[in-house]
Amino acid sequence: MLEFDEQLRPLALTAQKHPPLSKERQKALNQLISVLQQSGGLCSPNRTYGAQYPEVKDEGRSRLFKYICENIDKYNADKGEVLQWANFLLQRRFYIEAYRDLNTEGQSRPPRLSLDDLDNLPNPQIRIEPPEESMSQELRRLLEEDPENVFKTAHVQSHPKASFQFIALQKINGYAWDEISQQLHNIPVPTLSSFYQRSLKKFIPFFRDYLS
Amino acid sequence: MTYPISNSMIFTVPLIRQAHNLAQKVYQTTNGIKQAYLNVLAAYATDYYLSCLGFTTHFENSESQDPIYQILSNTGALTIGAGKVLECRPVLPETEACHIPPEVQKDRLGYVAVALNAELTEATILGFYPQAHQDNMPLSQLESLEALIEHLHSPQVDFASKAKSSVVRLSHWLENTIDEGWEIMNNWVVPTPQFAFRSRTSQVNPAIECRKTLQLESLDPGVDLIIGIHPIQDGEIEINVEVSPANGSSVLPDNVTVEVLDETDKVVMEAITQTTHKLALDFSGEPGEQFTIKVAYGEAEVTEVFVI
Repeated sequence: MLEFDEQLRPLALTAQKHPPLSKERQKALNQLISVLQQSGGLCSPNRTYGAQYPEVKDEGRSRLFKYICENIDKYNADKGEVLQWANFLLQRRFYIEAYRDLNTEGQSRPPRLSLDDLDNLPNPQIRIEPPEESMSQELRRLLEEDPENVFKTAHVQSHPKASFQFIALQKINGYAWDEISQQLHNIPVPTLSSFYQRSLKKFIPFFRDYLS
Repeated sequence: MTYPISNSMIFTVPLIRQAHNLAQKVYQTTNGIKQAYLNVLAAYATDYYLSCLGFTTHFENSESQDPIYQILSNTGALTIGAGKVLECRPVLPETEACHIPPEVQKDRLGYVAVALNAELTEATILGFYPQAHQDNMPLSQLESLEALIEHLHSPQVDFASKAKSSVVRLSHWLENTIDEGWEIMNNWVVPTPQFAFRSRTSQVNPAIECRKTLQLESLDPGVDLIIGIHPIQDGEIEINVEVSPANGSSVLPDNVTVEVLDETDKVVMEAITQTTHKLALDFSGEPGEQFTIKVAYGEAEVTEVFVI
């Protein structure tokens, strides 16, 4: 750990020397957290947390990194090394607080999902209650009906077929950009996508009004 | 985990339950779009990282958290500073490229690559691309986090310094500290809060009114933007915005527009001239709130950012 202490101490002092929001301080803080995380020297929570151990660890460390970045001026190099300070904060404060909060408010919240969980839905852990009409269905209907005749009339210059309505519906239908381009006489993807990006931004307030 | 980037400075963000809850909310509303779940996690991690460094971010108002955007596009947009957008891209294990969808290749400050582990318990901010040249950018071409910090401080981006200086702080006006470029037109005695509370609101005057002349190309001699502020009660401040012709001319040309935008650059009020002498908009807000005023004529536009 000695090697890391020697790297961490000057980084903490550099950060302290520069004002908040200066790039020198930000770089020193980023480097400090980076070394801290890769050192393997951060202590783990007590094993007695059982099943909650992984979450207490992540939650506690999430609080630690933020605390260190915001309170680097509280680090006193005369009292010890950065790693000692960090581990003191974890053990005496953040793991305890994390455990307490997970048990008071965390229980009612749905659990964290992994990539496998997402690939193997439906998963009993997470409920997706299909509403009477899903938001995608609502959007699709709105786009098709085009009540104010705006989605059809917004189109790529001199290509009336390449309307916002057509592209948005094809996006909902799951077509990739190059497929949409083929459907539209090979109008280049960048032309279509930048038109679409601009139009989407313009129509968002409209969608919100209709869906609410 | 090892990453194909020579510079070893990274930042790993624990994906705590709060992050997953935000992702699940969007996931459920979009009827289970997996990519939307991952996009929210990537934006959450970048938001955490940038706020650790002290940058101002607006995660809760970002496009990535909007189910409509997630259904109609593939975006991990994170709004930062005064309405600029960083695109945060989730990178899955064992991939060597960062996918940047065509529909987000414009209007971005840059593209941050965020590596997610298979358990989705941690996200590592790997680096960034200032521009997207292709849909799949090789991770080997990523620029470092040091370069990202530099980028956010660069004059073209001017995100960091905007947060500090070029924002007009209206609360300072009430202490008679006026920002450069502004000129006091009227300055009434600021009443004590109790008195302000009792005073009849029908004849309120702004406590202070300042003017700045904005130069708009193709419009000579430009327009005056006049901002009057007046504390009402409980810290709430009434704001009067007026756009009138600068010295000399008496009428504004048609089609001069003025817009008030909120922190996320959403237009909340607007007005347009039609043989009118001036445009006026009134609203109120609370200390700390940010808004932008955009005055436009033809292709030319000028914006001013304010914090109450």
